[in-house]
Amino acid sequence: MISLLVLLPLIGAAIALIAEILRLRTLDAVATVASLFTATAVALRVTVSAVTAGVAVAVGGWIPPVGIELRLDGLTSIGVLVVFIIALLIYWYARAEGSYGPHFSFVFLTAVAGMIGLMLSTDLFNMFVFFEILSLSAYLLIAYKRKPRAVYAGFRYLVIGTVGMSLYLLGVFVLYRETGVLSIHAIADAGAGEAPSPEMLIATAAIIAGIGTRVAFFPFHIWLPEAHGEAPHPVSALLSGLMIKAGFLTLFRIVNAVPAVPITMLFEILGPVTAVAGVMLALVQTDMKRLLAFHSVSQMGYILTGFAALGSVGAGVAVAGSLFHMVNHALFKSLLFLTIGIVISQTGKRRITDLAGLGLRMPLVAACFVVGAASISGVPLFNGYVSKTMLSAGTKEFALYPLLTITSIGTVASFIKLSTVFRGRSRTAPGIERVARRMYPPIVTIAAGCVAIGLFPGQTAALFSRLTNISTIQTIDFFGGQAMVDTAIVLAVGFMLYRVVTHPVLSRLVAAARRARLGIEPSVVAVLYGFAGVAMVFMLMAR
Amino acid sequence: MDRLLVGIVFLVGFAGLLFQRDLIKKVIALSIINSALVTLFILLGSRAGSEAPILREGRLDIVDPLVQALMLTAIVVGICITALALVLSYALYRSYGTTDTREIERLISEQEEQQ
Repeated sequence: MISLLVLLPLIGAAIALIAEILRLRTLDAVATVASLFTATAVALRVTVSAVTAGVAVAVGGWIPPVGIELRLDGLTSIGVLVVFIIALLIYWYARAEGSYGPHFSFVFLTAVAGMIGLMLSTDLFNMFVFFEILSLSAYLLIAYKRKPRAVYAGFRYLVIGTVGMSLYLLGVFVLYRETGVLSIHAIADAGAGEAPSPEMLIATAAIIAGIGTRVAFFPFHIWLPEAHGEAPHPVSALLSGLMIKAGFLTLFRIVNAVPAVPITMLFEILGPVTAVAGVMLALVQTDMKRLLAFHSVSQMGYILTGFAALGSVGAGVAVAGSLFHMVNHALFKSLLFLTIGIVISQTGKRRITDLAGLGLRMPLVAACFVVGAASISGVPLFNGYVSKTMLSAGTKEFALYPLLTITSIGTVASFIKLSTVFRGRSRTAPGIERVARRMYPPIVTIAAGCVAIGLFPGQTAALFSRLTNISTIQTIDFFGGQAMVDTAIVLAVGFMLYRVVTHPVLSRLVAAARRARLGIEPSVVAVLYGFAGVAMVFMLMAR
Repeated sequence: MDRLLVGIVFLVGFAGLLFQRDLIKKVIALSIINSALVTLFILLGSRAGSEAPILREGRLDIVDPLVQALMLTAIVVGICITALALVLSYALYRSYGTTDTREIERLISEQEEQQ
């Protein structure tokens, strides 16, 4: 039953390929929608049993360690449902825009199958295969419009991604030599109760570095802003909203499987550093999509910080918050990319400073953008606030926690900056066409989801914890006095920071910083140094 | 000794990636890294025995079949990546008229300045 979750999108992809060959322009859309719908139905059907006990299947009847095991538990079933539903909405957007044919449907569905497979895999090599399926379709999707710059971004991502995956394979090699198994459950059993050997530490470092190039945390994030910024709009939404989350679920499982390796200590540093570095770089961008892409990096820092709480006393609420933030980020980041995508395709301009006063011309798009911006900034009554509050409740003790507060302030400031596109008097030529009605349903649906989660924070958080079987000891008062005061301070300081950042003197300074961009070689060096750094941290901390 | 050799091949791949500016040569470098990894795994499997893992009566001294199965997949993945990388390189050559990465990066930043 659960192998259908991977198979159905692949069948859809095959039909899309046939549609490409026969030049049938609607068959692929029908196949895509049908396969995603049926897959969602299958996922819903198995959710109940997945949450209570977890469902596992040995593909083709071959039992592990020879065969491939796919496993669905509460957390993955939420992930699977989020991927299917948001992918469907993104696909709707792509078709409504009109410039995406059967070829796109094929690669899109392959990417979806890759994500689902990755989330369901339980052994390291199978994860490698699905990582590569996912990345291959990602490279193709980024270059889909054949814009030269996007093609180069795709090529650079391919090189960095392949180096990352080579490190990952190297890690798998050492692990297999040490333990003789590949399943993460078996690795957890093999390493239980022992101090990790140096080989084990290096293997884990290589695997973390490899996944790092996929999920883009510092210092492995360098490819992301260019790739996600240059990709076609629906692709940016798919990559930023969903793809990195699939990698994070894998990371979560691996961190859980090797508790003896001091990964959480590493994440306690890398998480806040990623968050603050991402937001600072986002603040100085003038390109709308690149600003959003840097925010993806920054938000991944939050999630990583939540993982750092694994195994500590207040773990439940931070881990649940961080996983819940993945769902929420999937919603609001795809929403932001799609609304900004509409703005860019309607006006033909990408720079923030080139646009103003669009709110009156496209009120519904502006409203959806405000929902997304409020969610990412952590404004109460929107979904980002719920998971961020849970996260901060569990991570307050961390030494680097102040960096997360700075990140919140920076996020507010940069979204006030981005909102100038919709505010003020219109400076753009009057020749902008009205937004076609068929573009609205996806963004309105996602925006409604953001608000629905935000309006009932206690209930949705409790439901999420129950589905994922993560018990939260603390109960959080989402609308308590202290939380409100904190939020108000962050918003106020964020507004002041916005005034400072947009000051002409400073903006000339940062323009120089923005131009400094990394080529292929420096990025590869950064990945290698990152691996060496992670390995060194493990060696030092394991003593 | 043989492991040292694989290590050298691995490093040759990385050197190619870092010091060759040509797109095609970078793709070749990626391919070399992939081959080094495949060899490393096969080497690991070969320690377990000396004969091919085709089970017959009396044949017990076999190499580890699992790594061979895994590497078959890794080779396929590697070919896909090489093929796609070459397609992207060709597309880049068609739009920029060169396969030199520095040159392409320079052209991209020039275009950005103009906007």
